[in-house]
Amino acid sequence: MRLRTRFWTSAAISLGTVLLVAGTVGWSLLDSVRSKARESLARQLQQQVLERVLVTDEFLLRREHRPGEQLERKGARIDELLRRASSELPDPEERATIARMQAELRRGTALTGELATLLASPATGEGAPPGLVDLEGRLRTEILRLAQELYAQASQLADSASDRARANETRTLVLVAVLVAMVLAVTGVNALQANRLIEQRVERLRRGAEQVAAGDLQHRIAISGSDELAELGRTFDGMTVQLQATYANLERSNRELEAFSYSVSHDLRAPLRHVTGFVGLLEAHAPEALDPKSRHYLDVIAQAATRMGELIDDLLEFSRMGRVEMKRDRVPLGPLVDEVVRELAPEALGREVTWEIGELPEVTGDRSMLRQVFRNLVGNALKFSKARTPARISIGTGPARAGEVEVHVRDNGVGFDMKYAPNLFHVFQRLHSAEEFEGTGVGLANVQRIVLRHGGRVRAEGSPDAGATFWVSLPSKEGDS
Amino acid sequence: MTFGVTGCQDRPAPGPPQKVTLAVAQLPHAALVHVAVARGYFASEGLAVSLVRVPFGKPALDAVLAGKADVATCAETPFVLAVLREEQVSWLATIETSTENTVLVARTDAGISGPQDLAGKRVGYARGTNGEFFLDSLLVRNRVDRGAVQLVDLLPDGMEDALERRTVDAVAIWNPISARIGKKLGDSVRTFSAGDLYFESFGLVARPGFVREHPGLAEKLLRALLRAEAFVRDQPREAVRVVAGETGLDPGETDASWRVFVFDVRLDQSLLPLLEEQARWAIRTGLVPPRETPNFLRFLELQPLLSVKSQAVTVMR
Repeated sequence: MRLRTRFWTSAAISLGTVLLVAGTVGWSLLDSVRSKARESLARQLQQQVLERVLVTDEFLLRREHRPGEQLERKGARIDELLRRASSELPDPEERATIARMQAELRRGTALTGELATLLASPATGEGAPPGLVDLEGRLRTEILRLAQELYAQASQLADSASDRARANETRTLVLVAVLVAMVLAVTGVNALQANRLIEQRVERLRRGAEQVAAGDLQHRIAISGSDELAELGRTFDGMTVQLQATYANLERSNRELEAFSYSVSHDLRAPLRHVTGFVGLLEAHAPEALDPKSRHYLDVIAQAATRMGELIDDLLEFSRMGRVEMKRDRVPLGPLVDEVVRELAPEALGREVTWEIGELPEVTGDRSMLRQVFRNLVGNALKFSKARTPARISIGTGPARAGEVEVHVRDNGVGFDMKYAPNLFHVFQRLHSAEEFEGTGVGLANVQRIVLRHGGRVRAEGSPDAGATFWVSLPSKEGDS
Repeated sequence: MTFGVTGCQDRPAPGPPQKVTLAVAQLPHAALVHVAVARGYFASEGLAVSLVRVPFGKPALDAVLAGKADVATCAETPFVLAVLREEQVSWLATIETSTENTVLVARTDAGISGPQDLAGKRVGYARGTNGEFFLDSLLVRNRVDRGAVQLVDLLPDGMEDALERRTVDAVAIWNPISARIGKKLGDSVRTFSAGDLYFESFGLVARPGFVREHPGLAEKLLRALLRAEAFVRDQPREAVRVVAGETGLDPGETDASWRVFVFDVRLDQSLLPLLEEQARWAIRTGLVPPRETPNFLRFLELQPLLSVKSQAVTVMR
């Protein structure tokens, strides 16, 4: 199942559960409210009946109109409450009780009316015939009995309604507790399942990426399924397969390149040695047989051979820089640059050169390679500023990213047009002719290769006839490449 | 699902059953007892009930007073009279009430168009029963002088014949006899109730000594009767069949009269004024020697029913 689908399904289930809970709790609460309303009605009824009993007692005792009138009103109120209760109380037994109470109320009211009439009759009172006395007695007894019976039933009704209201409250509480637990369980299980699934797959992806990054290109993540993470896994595996193929191609290319380099160094040098050697032999063998033009031609051949030899050497060096194992030591740049400047001193002989060398930091890297970098950069600065008097060369540091140091080599030489900046670090790229400035055009390519191998960066800035600045960013001694 | 009349679906309580002799009226009034017997509710409470079957309540109470039974079913009138005669008897619970069960059945050809016409007529009644109190209530209600009526003491089973043979003009009697008379004599008789001045209570009575000597027994009896109450409420048609089977009464007659009865186990506060009124009547009419009206609270056994179903007891205490 797609993660999105799983998410929405889970959300729908959780929402559905919440709605079910809300609906059920709502219904239960509503039922609870209704139960409480019924309880209230039953208690009202009980209270009214009790008051009727009190007024009945008073009427039977005093035989007066006022309690009689109150009794009548109370009866009407109770009758109204009984009609309400009959429609609102749902239980059949309760309705049967209400029907009995209504019948007893009617009887009681009728008997009370009859007693009142009897008492008002002049035939009652002292000297009344036994039959009337008996009748009065019976009426009183039955009225009292009915009043007590009514109260007993009203109390029963109220107690029953109270019990139901309490039961509903308890049921609501239990329902809320159970349903909330259900919601938590459903949501929790959903979340746990989804989380576990995603976590497992992400962990497999992470471990897979680690394995591949560590060089195990045979490793496959192999996640089955139709969701996005499974697709990502398959894409990653596809990428690894491609990477494996590319790596194999690169290895093959490197091997071919090494073979080529060997061929160049070995197979090209031999004929070159022949050319240089036989030019020398020719010049030595019959110097008088060569006219000036012929000697000039031989000089050109020798120079060209020498130059070719230099190109081959530089090319070999460039190739070696890419393959040789790099050491990682703490390299203080200050002494290293001083050493390079001293080594290049002969090239500054007879010139006015102003050196501004700042305090240089310690970096982590291969001392020999870094020496080559600064040999090339400082050498270039000297070379391209030879027309300046004085030539100013400054070597210093600048703001750098965390974990890096930035060293610059600046000169006031011929500079360059920035449109050629992208090509500066390419092999054999020259912005000036060999007659203007010697060199094979491999130096800066070597600088870049070495700096890149150190995990650093190199850039250049310049303008025609206004000098150039080269920045080299290298990992500091705490950093790593 | 219905069960046979003698079907007993409950397992008896463990231990030897307690023996009790119950004098029961073979009338629908004692329906709860008949159902409890037939359904085995007494047995499941660990009671071995021996029945003394009698035609109506007064002889059942007489059996208890004579020591021939432990418990009886009877109406309030024989009970009141027994208390007034200072017999040791207690009312354990009311098991049936009605306002229409006991009626006056009168021959129309005797010139009786209503109770007010009873003066000078011969009226059969069962002395010492609630029929007697009912008749008196009817006379009082209709302002007929008791002395103007010729009262004829009859056994309940003889009333149908007496009315048919015109040895009496009317009889005060209860179901099923009243229904039987009405069915047999048809339009030649009319039935009258006491209006709203008579309320019948039929109960379970026992000697207070018996209750004290057998703790827990009364509770068992009442629990069985409460189960019978539930059965009668939930399965009225089956209950009619059970009662007819136990009493030997015609099922049709039993069913026809069923609606006038209310079968429930209770002890109401309203029972007390009823008992006191009957006591005053009995004293006033000379049925018993002159004396003060007893305090009937002392003759109600509240505790057993309070223990079993407290909400069925509304007697103030």
